[in-house]
Amino acid sequence: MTPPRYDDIYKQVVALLQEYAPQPGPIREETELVNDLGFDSLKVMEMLNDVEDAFDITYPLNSLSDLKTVKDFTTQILNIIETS
Amino acid sequence: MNPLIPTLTESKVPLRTANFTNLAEALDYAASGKTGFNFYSGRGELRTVLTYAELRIESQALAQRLLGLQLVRGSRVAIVAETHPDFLRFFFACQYAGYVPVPLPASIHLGGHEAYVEQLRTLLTKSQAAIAVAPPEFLPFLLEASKNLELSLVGSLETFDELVEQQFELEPLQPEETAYLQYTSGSTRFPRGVMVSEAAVMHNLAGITKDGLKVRDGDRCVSWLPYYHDMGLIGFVLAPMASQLSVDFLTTRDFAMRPRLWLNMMTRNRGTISFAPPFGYELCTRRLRHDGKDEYDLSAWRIAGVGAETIQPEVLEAFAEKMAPYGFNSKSFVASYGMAECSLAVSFARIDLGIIVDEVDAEQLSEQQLAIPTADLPETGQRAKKLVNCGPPLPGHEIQIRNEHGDVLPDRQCGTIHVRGPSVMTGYLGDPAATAEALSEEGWLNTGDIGYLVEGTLVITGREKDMIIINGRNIWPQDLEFFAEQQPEIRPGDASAISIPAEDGSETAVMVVQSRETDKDKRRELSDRIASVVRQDLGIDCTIELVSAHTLPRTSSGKLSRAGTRRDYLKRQSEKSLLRIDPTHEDRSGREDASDLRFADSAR
Repeated sequence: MTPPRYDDIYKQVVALLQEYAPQPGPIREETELVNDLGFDSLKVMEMLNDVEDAFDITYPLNSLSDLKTVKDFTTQILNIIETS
Repeated sequence: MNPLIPTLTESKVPLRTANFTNLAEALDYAASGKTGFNFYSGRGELRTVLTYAELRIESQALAQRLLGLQLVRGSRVAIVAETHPDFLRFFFACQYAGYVPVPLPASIHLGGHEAYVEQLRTLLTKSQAAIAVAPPEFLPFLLEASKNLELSLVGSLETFDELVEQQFELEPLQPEETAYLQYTSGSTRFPRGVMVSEAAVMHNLAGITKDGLKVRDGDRCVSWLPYYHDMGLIGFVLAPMASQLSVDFLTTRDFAMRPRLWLNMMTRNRGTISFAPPFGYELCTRRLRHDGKDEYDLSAWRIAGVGAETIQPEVLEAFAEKMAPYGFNSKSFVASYGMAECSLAVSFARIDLGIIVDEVDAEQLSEQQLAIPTADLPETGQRAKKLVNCGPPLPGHEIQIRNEHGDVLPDRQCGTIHVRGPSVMTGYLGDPAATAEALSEEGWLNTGDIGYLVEGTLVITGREKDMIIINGRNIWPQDLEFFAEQQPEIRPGDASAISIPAEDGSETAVMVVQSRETDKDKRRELSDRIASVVRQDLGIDCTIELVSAHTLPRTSSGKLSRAGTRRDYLKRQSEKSLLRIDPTHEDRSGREDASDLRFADSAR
């Protein structure tokens, strides 16, 4: 299996965020999930369900606390895939 | 390796419904049977089985280790209350060692690192914790929060396993001693620690299991409610343990991610008892798939408890309708009312009857505080309000409805609910003023909630004055106002937070903020900034309305009047919708599913 690439994950993450974002808008690396896309606690859980299924990972709950931007999110997912 | 097998449903010892002197004795008895706790993963796999027998041995050993620290009896042990076997080991170790467990929240918001650490730190300080413990994934937060605080030891279970096991004779907490300290009450910034004695909680557990739910052989519980919430801890850890029932646990996070897991759990081991706030039923209904892939059998579910927030009958009707093909019986709904200050439960509707709705005249209710059944009135097209009957108080408990002068009111007149009985708390830790305010010398607890009685049964019409409830979670207006006042251009007293009913019956948080700023862009930036801080810290949406100075109504004593704020806000909104223009202010509209996974007290 080829190792996951940041760019590929980023593309998938953007697609998922666009599907769930309560305040849809253009998404870039520095876009913030809470402030720009309007995610709240419950909506983010619904989205994480798809993220876990899409990447076949378990996203640790405590990682949420340091998650602000789309770039953070992509990097976190990449790290989870690489260490699992 | 053998595959894990969940604990049996039958305990094989005679059923006893919490008639024990303390929690330790209850566990001693449960440990003689075959039942216990089962923990499932987010994919529905059984991860850990902890029988009551194992729990007893492990928590007694842990108690012997803790005793080596030579803490004063009654010392507080703060435990991050993740749905995890370690929480239970520590909770019961405290029971055997004579220490007081303090469940700490285990809820983290998106980007909420600092806020969570600050919350833990406040609770560690307030409870004067001697030691603090967290499961591994929460330990970094706890270590950060306890920095420079004087605690004897902070760590995970492994840290405590290194302590030397002593050989003392264990002296469990006695009936008059505090069984645990519960911080579900009070605002985030000014938390109040509810002290509940062993005698009080045992009374409540007996009331819940024997009288309220009428626990019987063959019962089995399923729960995804957080351990740091009274309904999760008292209702689904202590009550099943004290009546020797097995429990299948999902974490709250896994339920929020995959609500259908709840139904899987009910199906798999033929669960008979489970509770949720209305939003839990709503979430499950909304996320049910209809592709025929899921098969559930909910026919064993005899008690589908509802509490923790105002109950909208429509939400439950929708759930029952969708689940009927899977054997769900709407008669299994049981409405309940309670709060941490009364251990957990005050009243249950009678089981096997389903939701009993009292339909009253909406206008009489809001104008005269009278609950007149619409059936008694001539057909004049009056608006009806559907309220849910929460049943009679638990045996040994009394309820009085009082007006603002303290006079006891007759049936069908709304007033403040007062409760007296053996499950009522001892008081708030280190806060005699708040205790005196809540608890009279005659033992009456002022719940602050509003309701009325009908032939000895209780109907709730509103909760604690000013409280904002979003998806079962208490939001104190003071906490919201604090975030506004933290902004450099806002002064104390310039913000007033209220709750507004949304069209679907849920609530929306609104904050009206006074500002002298006139520049339109700057005003928008300010309201966006406040909304963003609120979302970051509390994980909820709040509509921010900026108004000019001296707009907020005050009481005669100069205090902000939130009732006045609400009235004025609604008036402006209706004028706005009539005029369709808005010359004086702009507002950010909140969305409807603002939500969170922490909980309010059981019935608020």
